[in-house]
Amino acid sequence: MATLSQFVTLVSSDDFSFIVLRSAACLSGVIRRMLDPACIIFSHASLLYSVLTLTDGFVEARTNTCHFENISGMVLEKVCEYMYYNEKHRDGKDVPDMDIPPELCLELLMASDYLDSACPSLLHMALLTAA
Amino acid sequence: MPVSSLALMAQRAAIRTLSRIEDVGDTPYELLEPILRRIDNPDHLLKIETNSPHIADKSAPLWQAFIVRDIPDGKKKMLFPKNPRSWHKVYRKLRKEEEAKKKSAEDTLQKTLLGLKEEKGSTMFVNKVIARPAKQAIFVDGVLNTRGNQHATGASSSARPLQAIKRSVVARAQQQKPHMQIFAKTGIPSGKTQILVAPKSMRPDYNNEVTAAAKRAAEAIKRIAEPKTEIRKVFAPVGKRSATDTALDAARLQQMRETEQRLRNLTQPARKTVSEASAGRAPTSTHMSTQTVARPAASVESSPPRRDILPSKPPARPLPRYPIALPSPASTADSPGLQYPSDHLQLPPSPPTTASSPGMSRGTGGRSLSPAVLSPRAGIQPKRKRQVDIFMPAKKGRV
Repeated sequence: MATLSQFVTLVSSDDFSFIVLRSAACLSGVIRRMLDPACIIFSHASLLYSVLTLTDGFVEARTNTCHFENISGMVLEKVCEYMYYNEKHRDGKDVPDMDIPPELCLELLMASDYLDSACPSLLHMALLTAA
Repeated sequence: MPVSSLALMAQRAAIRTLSRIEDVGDTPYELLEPILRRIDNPDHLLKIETNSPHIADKSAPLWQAFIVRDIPDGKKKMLFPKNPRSWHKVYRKLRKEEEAKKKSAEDTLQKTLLGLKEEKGSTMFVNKVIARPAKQAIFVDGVLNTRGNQHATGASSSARPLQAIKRSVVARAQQQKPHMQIFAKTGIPSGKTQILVAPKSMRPDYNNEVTAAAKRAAEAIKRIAEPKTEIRKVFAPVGKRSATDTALDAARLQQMRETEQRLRNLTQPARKTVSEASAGRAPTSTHMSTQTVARPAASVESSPPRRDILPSKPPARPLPRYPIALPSPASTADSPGLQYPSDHLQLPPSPPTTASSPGMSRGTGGRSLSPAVLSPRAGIQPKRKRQVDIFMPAKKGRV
């Protein structure tokens, strides 16, 4: 476990797996913490926390896989797309919005809120300003 | 971050298609707040709340905004419900009150307008009557006839009827004033029996030259414009042939035969007997092929006698539908195979002619018959036009 793998797997509730770059996936605070081996276990994320030792980190960190039981495959796909979109336009300015189909937007809103895309404080700030 | 967060993008996308959102599932209110604020229709918000009740718990500010927007003095009339979920009822109640008020205001306005109208027609009772001398007083039945004034002045208004009507109206209005009080006895003139337009004969321009000329012109145009329908007599043959027709036919045939006989006598001095010709021809009457073979032979033999301009027995022509009663000198059947399909057709039998037999074999019901077909083979007979019954379609098949 000296070197972290470049790719991680995100699995949706309907067993769709998406293999993405670690750097892209860690845009989400939740995923970053789940995959961080140095992180201490918190009860809400891991299902098998009772089996693991305290110092070992999450199961996800060891297997480089994150399961999301509340996010469907279609939404997770859009999330992955956003991650790459974000990395691609990291240095750009006034980038046009990613295309989001109306059927997904509400679910995507919930998923993104769950995953705390980018900086959580920024998200809250953005919502406040919108409100 | 130069790129907006996914949540913001999703919110923007949702606002774009806001009209289609009816159910938000279990999305928390905080995430939806920017979207719900954009709703225009309170009914839309109500629908969303019905589908996702947890929204109704926190949507008080939205409803308050609606109340302030839609109801005049909404802020002052704001009611605060005990149940936070029933803000929509508050809105509806206030809305109804507002509409009721509006309707009552409209009703009162309408009443006042009607009241004003009614007042005009009602009789006024006054204490004093100011005497006003009538210009040309006409008494009818002891009552001053106001209309008499109008008629009296009618002569001067002959040229301008509109002005006259106006004057009469003014006169009537003057008479309605208190100092006249005519209608206390007779009642309000309703105008139903009022003559508004003079009869034609009394109009100033009656029997004018212009009108007469106009009338004449109109009539002339009408006559020109009328479609000219001619009844053309069509002479068509009547269904049944009369006796004269049949007689004429017979006579014509007879004449033709005579002519032909004469010519024959002139042109063909030597001729074989008719019986020989008939004997040679009888067996070949049924089939065309054999006929084609036999005919040249027969024709060579009997070419002189067979030079028929008109065969003695005319071919079985497909005569029209009506029955033909031609004089029949002989019976129809004179040789086997020569059966006329049409019984009513009784023509004198001739020596079995090549002309007739193929026709017989082919046609039924007297359809088309072509002596013309035979003429190339016979080489003698003139080409006759194909007899086609125009009333019956040409039969393509053969018997």
